[in-house]
Amino acid sequence: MPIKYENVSFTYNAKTPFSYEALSDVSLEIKDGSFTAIVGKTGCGKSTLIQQLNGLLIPTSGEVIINDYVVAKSRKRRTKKIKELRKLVGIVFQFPEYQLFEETVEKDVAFGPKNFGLNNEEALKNAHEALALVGLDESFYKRSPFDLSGGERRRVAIAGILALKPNILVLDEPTAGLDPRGAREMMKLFKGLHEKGTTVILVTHDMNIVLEYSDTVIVMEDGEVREITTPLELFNKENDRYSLETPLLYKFVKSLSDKGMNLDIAMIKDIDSLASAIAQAKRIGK
Amino acid sequence: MRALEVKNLFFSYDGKHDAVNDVSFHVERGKYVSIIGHNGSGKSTLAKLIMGLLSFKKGEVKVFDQILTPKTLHEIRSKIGIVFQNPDNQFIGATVKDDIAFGLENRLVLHEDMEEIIQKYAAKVHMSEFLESEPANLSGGQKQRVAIAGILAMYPDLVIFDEATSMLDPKGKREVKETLFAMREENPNLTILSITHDIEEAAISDEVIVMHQGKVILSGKPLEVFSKESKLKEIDLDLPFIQKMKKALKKQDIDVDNLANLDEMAEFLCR
Repeated sequence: MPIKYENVSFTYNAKTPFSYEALSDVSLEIKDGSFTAIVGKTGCGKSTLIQQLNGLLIPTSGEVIINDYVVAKSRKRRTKKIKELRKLVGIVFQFPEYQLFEETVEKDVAFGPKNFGLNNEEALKNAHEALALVGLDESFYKRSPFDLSGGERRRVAIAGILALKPNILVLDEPTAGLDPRGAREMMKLFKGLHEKGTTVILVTHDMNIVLEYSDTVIVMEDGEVREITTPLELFNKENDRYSLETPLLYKFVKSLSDKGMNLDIAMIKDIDSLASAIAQAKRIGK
Repeated sequence: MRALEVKNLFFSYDGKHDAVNDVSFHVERGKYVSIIGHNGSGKSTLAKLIMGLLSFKKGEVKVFDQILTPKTLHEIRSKIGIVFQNPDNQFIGATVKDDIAFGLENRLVLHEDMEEIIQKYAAKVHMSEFLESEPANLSGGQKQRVAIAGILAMYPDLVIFDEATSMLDPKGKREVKETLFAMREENPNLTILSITHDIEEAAISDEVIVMHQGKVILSGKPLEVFSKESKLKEIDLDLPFIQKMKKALKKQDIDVDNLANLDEMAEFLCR
């Protein structure tokens, strides 16, 4: 079942002088099994949007429906099974490595499953599987999370969420601060999970990642959804209006077009297809 | 004149393995040099050694022909400005104005002169409107720009960017990079050493130094360095967009190998 936002508005510090409307009348649908990117400037409401997904924030009005679970202000409508919902929807926040606290890596990762009622043995089994997924082997089990490198700590934190086996994985800037190789490996992991059926919702500023991995893009601005589209359509159009950083590929396409090359835009989705579009344009040009 | 000369430098954190292992290179005055490599390749350690924040066990560092020793450390530091990775760790003042003033106060600049200097450098990094802002109200990119203003206000001859953009979002990254390029244009004698993960930034600097496991494994102009594809692949370092584009075009029998940047390439392709 898809995730549905129905006329969701959210105001921080409502009814105080500091009241601030972060989401205003958002309606959207995220398809099961999709890889959806949420983009927009800092402060556009992206993070507020995803926190409604497991009831960390409750809409000021409107409702979010995830499978049979409803997140809404009305106590009558709102799901009583918030814990189940939080098992279904795993949210990885920005810089999750700051949330580690246990004395060993395996204990930290097993903390979640245990909290959800698994016994020690099962929780550890889940933890070990999750650690394998993020590429940390047995030698890490007994180490202190605080002795690890930043990238390794990030993996431990993500394993902590994966150990709950969420069907919907929500990621807030998971590659921020990682080196390019670390970022690449991290995205490969999410791509793998997506291929196995997990719905992935990714908040990111990195348009190169949007282009390479996502199938759907939600563009937000000033707390509203401006567009729901595909990466190709988004970048092939002039997208300066949302002040998104254009991927280099499309900057180059634009620079070629500006210099008079007649490119078949519909052909272009990556570097290789751009190269053949250029070759074609040159042939026709002659 | 050489802004920086590093000769056979060794450093170890644990006494067992060398985090910086026989590193030698030099940077001519006015050049913009990028050092790239994975986490743990020794890049940031190298920056700390040059700043005298760590002391090396063997080798030599010369900054503007002055050998780095405990005695010269203070003077050498006065010539170098460094922008660190974490925007929050280097914001010292309560407001943008205070933060830029901090370095100046340390240099005993008179209060009546300070205002003008602060205005000038805040303008250079496009932060004039934010002089009274507190750090909590600034984005990462803005904080880094304030850090840069504070450094420029002290007239450094050499500025080291130690992964100054890696914690920023793409917009912040772009802002800081644009500030860097503006700095260069304004003062061609300013030497910039940028330790970075941003392969696209490295591709447009004057020279690139590639570090791996404490050693310099490649160095030269970006065009040369990035054409050594197999070597870069060996250490799992990504290629910049321009190099990938060249490869893809080659498959289409279009040879653009000798073009140094994307503008030239676009120009050539549209001819």
